[in-house]
Amino acid sequence: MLAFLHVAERSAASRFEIYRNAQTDPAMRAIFEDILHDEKFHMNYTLTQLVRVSPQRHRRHLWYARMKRLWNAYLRLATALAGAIGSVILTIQYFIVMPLFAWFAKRSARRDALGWTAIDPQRNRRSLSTQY
Amino acid sequence: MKILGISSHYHDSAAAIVIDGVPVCAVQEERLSRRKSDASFPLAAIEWCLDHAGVDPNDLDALVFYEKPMLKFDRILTCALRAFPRSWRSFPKAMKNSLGEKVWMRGIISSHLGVPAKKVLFTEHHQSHAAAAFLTAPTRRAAILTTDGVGEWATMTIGTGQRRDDGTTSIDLLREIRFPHSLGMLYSTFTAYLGFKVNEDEYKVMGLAGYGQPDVVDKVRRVIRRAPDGAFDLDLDYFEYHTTSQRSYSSKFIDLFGPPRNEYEPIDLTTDSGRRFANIAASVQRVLEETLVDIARSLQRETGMSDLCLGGGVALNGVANARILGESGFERVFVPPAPGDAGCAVGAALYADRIHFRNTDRDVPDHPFWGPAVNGDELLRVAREDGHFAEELDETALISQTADDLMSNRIVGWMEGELELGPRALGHRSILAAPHDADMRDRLNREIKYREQFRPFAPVVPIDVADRFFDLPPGGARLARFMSGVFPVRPEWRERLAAVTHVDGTARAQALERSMAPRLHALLEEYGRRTGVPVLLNTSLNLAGEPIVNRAVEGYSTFLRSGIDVLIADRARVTKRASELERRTEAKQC
Repeated sequence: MLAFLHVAERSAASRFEIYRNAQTDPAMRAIFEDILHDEKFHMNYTLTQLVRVSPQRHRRHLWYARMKRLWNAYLRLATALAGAIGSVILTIQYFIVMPLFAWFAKRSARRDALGWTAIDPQRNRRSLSTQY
Repeated sequence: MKILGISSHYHDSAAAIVIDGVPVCAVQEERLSRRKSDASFPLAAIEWCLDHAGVDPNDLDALVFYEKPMLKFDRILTCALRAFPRSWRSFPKAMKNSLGEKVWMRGIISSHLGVPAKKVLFTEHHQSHAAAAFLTAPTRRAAILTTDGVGEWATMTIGTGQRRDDGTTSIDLLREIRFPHSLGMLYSTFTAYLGFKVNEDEYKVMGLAGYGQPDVVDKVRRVIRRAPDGAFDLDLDYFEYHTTSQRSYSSKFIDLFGPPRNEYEPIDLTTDSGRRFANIAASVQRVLEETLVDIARSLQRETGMSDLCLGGGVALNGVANARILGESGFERVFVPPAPGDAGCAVGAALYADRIHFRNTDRDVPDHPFWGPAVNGDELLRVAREDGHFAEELDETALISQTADDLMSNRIVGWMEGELELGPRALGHRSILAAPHDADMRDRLNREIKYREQFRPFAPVVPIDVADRFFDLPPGGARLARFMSGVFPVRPEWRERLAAVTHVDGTARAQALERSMAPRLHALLEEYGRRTGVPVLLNTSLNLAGEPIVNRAVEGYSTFLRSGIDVLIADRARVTKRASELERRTEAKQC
């Protein structure tokens, strides 16, 4: 846990360093300087505690935490990529496969009655086992 | 027989357990996950319910999902096809959404809980609503009206329910109105148009309506027309919710009503634009009420019954409910504390018990408190760790001290017993305050709820004196049991109840019976003895954007982050540090 916290704080600190350096307004720069100061404190504190509780294996823990972050980033990227590919395939299918079915669906829509639709009494007794 | 009911994947997931025909527990996922309107599979809620009921998943006789996933998929696919080619953007999203998870509910439930798939059952969405409304109501025979955005295909159903002397029960849905013609979607479309969140902020439209004049009713009637058989249909040229996922209303809708509100701009009711939005809200509210009253009236004539059970999300519209009670011919109107999808978890389980398994009918306890109980010791521990003043009081001292606090215009966070099911805080997770000054309403909006100034607060009053302060029609006290109706505040009391009287002179009162929440009832009586007005302002214990608190530590967190002065959990009472109270007093004096 300490290793994960340290890696996360380190990442946050480097990001706030970028934000601070990008500021031209002195007041905003001071705010980011304060935040960066806090983040560095957290970063150092978590590392100190990690070294204290695990003096022999703290480097291994840190590398494990970094690899875990990298793996999670890969998973996020892969999920987004898979989602994008899925959208492309479904869109292609939509234009190639669906037009015929869409024609039938539109024809059936014309037959839909407006207002109340009677519910078949059998439907009230239909088994709950079915998903339809 | 042990039955687990589950609702999920649209909004407000929940789980409930019914044992031998009686609900023993129910909780919304959002109260445990702390994500408002959490729609994910309610694993935490199921785990809590199983744990609370002491039931192993393998001991369950059935697990009932609140709608039929394939029927819903049929509707989604058909609508996408009918909107071809305009639905090309929403089609991939809809397919991924449905095929990725929603249509596999049998497998998901079975694998999550490690139970055989054949134990998983499915009710229809509106059957669940009907069961949640009828089977929890203290009536033997009633007409049933359910209406919401959409279930599978149905958006509104009417029917009847009977609990016979031989113990058998029947729920017969007679007719339905099918998607895309939907009163719920109409209201949601106006909710989106007015810059509020769909499926969450519909009550803001109702609140805003009080400030407007219904001067565009004719325009609203152009988008919703009455059918010759007494139903209604929407002119779909004005809507897009059935064809795309981007927007609910069409350009033609904008041509008719003018530009929509930017959600990031506050509504200023002193400007023309603010008044225009209030007038539109008032108009759609008026049309919704009239449509519901007409349908309820013809249902009463058709069935000849004196009781009506209302279900579905639209039944949260208290103004419409009160008009139905007053004008439809029904003598009593029952609305459950959770008429929306969360309550469907209870409804689905009860439907399976009574109708599918044909078990003997049993009375269901008439209260909304089915969730986890609060632990006062937890509050004492965390408050003392933080150096706040925390004490444990006996019942009498607690009531007396809280009445003192309220009389001193302190705002009290009140946590007692089991958590409510449904969107209303009905006295177990409430913020209580004196109801007399409009300043209190403004302070609550400003310092605690961080919400729009046009939103009203609700009062709670003992049921036996409710009629003294509020103009309740016959049957009104029942509707006010779960804050389901909006009624006029009697003119002579409006000034003394300024914090809970809406701009139109009404209030969404809760009429509290002693047996439902004895401690809050005692507090109301004590407050009444001292002030002559046994009424308190009662709003949910949460901050804007958060679900109602569940555990004592969540109440404590809300207490720390807001202007609540006193927090009570069970018999534990916590006040902020003296320095903070002094700072607040000084700020107020300034």
